[in-house]
Amino acid sequence: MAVELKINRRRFLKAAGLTGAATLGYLSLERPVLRALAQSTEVTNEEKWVSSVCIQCPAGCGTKVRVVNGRAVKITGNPNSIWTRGQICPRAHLNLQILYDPDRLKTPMVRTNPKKGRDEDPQWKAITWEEAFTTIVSKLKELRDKGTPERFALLRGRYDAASADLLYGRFAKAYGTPNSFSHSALCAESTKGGRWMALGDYDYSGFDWYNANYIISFGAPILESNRPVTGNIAAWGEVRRGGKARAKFVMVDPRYSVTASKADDWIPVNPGTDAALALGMAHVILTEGLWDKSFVGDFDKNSPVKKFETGKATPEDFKAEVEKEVEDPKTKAKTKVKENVEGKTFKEASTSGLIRWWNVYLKDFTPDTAAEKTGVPKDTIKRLAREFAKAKPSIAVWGRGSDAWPGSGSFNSYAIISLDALSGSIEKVVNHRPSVTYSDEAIKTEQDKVAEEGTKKPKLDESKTKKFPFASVVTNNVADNILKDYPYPIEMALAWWSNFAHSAPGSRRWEDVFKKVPFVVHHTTHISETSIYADMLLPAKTYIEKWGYGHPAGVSGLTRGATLYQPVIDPLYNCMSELELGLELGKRLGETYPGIKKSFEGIGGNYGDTAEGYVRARTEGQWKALPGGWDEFRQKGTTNHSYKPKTEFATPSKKFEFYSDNLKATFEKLKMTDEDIEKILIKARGDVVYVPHFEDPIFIGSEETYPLSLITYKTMLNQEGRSLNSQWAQEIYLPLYGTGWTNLAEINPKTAEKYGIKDGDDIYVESEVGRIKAKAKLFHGIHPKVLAMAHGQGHFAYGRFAKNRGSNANEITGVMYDHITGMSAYYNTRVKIEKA
Amino acid sequence: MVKYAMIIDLDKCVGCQACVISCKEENSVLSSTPEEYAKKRRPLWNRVITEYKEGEYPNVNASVMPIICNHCENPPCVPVCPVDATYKREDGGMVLQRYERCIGCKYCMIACPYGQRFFNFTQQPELEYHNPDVPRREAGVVEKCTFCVHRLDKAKAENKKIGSPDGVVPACTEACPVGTRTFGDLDDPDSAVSKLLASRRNYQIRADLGTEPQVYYLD
Repeated sequence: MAVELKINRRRFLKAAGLTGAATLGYLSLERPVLRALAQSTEVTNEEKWVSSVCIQCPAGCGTKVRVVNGRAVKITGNPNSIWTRGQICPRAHLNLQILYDPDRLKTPMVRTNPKKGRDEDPQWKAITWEEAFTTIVSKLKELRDKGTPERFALLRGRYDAASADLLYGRFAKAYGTPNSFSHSALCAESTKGGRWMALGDYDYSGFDWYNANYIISFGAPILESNRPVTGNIAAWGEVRRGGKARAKFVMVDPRYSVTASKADDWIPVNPGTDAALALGMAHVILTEGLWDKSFVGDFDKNSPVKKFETGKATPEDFKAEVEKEVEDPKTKAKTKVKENVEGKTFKEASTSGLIRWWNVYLKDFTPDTAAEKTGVPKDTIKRLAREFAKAKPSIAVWGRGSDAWPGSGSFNSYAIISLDALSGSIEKVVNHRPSVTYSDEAIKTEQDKVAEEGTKKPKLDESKTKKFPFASVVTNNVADNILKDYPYPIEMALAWWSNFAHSAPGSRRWEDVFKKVPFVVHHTTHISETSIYADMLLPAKTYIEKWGYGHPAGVSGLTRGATLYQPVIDPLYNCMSELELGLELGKRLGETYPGIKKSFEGIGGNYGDTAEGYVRARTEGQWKALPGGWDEFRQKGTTNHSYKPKTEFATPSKKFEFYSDNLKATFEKLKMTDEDIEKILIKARGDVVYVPHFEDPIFIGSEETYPLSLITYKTMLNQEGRSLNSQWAQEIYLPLYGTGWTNLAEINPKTAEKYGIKDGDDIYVESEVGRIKAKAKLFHGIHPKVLAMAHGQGHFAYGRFAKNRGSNANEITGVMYDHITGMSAYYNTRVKIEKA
Repeated sequence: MVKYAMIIDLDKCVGCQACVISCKEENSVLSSTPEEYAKKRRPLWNRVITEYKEGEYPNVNASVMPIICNHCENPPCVPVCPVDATYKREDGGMVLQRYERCIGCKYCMIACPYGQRFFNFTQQPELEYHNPDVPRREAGVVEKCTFCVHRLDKAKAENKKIGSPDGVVPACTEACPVGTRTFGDLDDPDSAVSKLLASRRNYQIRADLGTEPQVYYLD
């Protein structure tokens, strides 16, 4: 009756006993041996759930982390967050593998091999934080004391609002450098371009999927990788089932993605022509009288012109003779009288510039034109237009695929948001994002003379100049200007949560940048491509180890929240968060410079100058509103802010503008001439520049030599390129092909046949910029003139699981911009292929 | 008797694979390395596959589909086990594994028509984020989805509700951000799972084999 156990069984049972056989499976306790063990070893686990945030992408979803005996063992969503519906996407779970990643940087390191290169071993030497700070502070002092603080550049990537406010903002300002650069222009700045031109709101939109009947996405794979993914997929169930009515979903993309597989219609377009499709649709909506009358307005009933006709300009004003019936007050006889009336042909309600747009451009942009540019059949364009306009409320959503294009990016997003105006969706289902305000910082940022002069120097990225008229940042341009010392050299760089040597188009230039800058400090969790060129490494805390606050980027539905970042466990290694780094730098430099001291001493208000104190001070308004105060906020983890639709916009007319006076004013302020406009790759001239219009995509490389367009897409598990050392992410990286641990060069089978390439062949993919090797994947879901590769792979550093898997298309992507917003173009490099 | 079943709504599923990862997280399933992966050693108790109805460009049609152990009423893996390590538990109906009996012959893996049984070729290291509620398996044993029996039994012992929409459910069901899955007792006509099954067209994978899977798919 006694079970004979072999040694390994006994080990198993012992292990089971230690973890608490009581929790093993209660019915297993029938077995006498296990029951005996359970009785002898009763272990109580100390368990708690801590609210925190996943900030692996800008969505910043609230999470709850299960901590058992001081170890994080499970992540779930935070049910207190309305906009996420308490959910999280798969990537949030990766926090565990990232937290406990054995390849994490655990201590500050200094480079001892002065030679820098891909194959050079930096020969890192571990140092203490004290040693690290001593060096960093002395270098910062050196720059400042010789009057050139602007030669210190800050390069930020993923961030939370707290460290952005303190390190990226305050520290740079108090120190005296204007050169704080974010990754945003590698992200999606041109997505904001359209909203800005139309509404004066340089921001993403918040889409209320729950209330839409029709969704058409132009190049934004909303179920995989378009912020906020969690909000998007949490809505999906209701959007398709369980809501009011099943919404139709159309995906416009040269590649059949997982998102496209969920669509009712997949509409492949020629790369870079999404705006043409949108404009063709807009033309049909106008000529067929399908626009939303309550938002856009309508023709005056007395106007002789009562509709939009292809090719015909619509007069702005009208004069007409109208018959009116008049009653004689005495005789009560009714007579018909002719009266002259005049007025605006079309009376716009919440929009402005519609007739102008029609007359200078749209009247001639027919579905035929659109069909010719996009490759989409004319009848399909008409059908989509009718569906979109009739199935209101409808959402036209756009993203990088349609707007990360040179010269035309912002105009592409402008064309697409115009569809949302024509369907009356603005501030109904295509909304501004509710603002989240924090309590005033406890002390103001002080600038001494050195800081004042330093921050007045021109920014290295040339943002807000004629070259980049409305850009907040031109990330990729920083590389070229550092390399040419324009307008002055950069002598020190501090980069955190960024890896431009992997993620920027023309990534190899950044390797040269980090080789050139005399002192590079990289604050990072992993030794990445940027790190191996750095002079000093500082170990960063991962997402759930630090204090911070933030608000999700791009919301689904009508709420947004302030979320609290909290450490869920005791710090694992000798790491610092970027917020703590900023506080420490401020404190140490404050010992020498009174101006800096004034900016940092007391920054935590009543709560101490620590990361926790600063966060507590800044979120005071949030948690004081809760009955349980700070403790309740810590337990809840998030607040919810709701939304009031706007009725007025930040444009001169206060309306949605189909003729962008904001863009016009910006160009006028910079005194942009036609030559200047030509230089920033805009082909349109005159009034056409300021209306939604189509610019032909500009490619790098001739079609004869480089027949295919290279597009890179982001899968769900990409997570901004930082998930690649996580086995959970790698092993299921490409679900559409059931392939993990790599990326593939995806080609249409007919195209591959032309080049003698079979599925699984190793091929070279070459552009004017360079050449990479990849494995071919033949798939009918790829446009015949396109080669698609998943972003994120091709690391040559970053850890044992990330290294040498697949290839990085950024290495062969050329450097161009949507100049208005500074956004890097990602999809306009042409390539050729051959069997390796 | 209680008979647990799971319903997966393929219309809602977006192929995000939160179910895949949360299952590995909950059950401390071994992660593959690139070398193991190349040998097709891919322990994914919950796996997302893509079914193609591929025409030629642009008439492409693919659908994502999560598959797990089907906890069949007529499981082919049970009768082939020479040591009675695999068994169908009466209370609940889930097909489970007695790891301490498994000799690693892999006969059950061959018998399973769904490919959802996995062999521990290597010894899994003790990792910090392992779930203390689920013991790590030793090298040499077969493992698979358990319908998170540890969660269900714990709930039963603590008198908590089990089953959708607001009771304790397996990790995959809880983690799905779209609400694709419904779990519960099919022997209870009032359960969410019974009602949902009766209300929509559904199918099981390879029902023609007579395995009587307890995982149902909604179109």
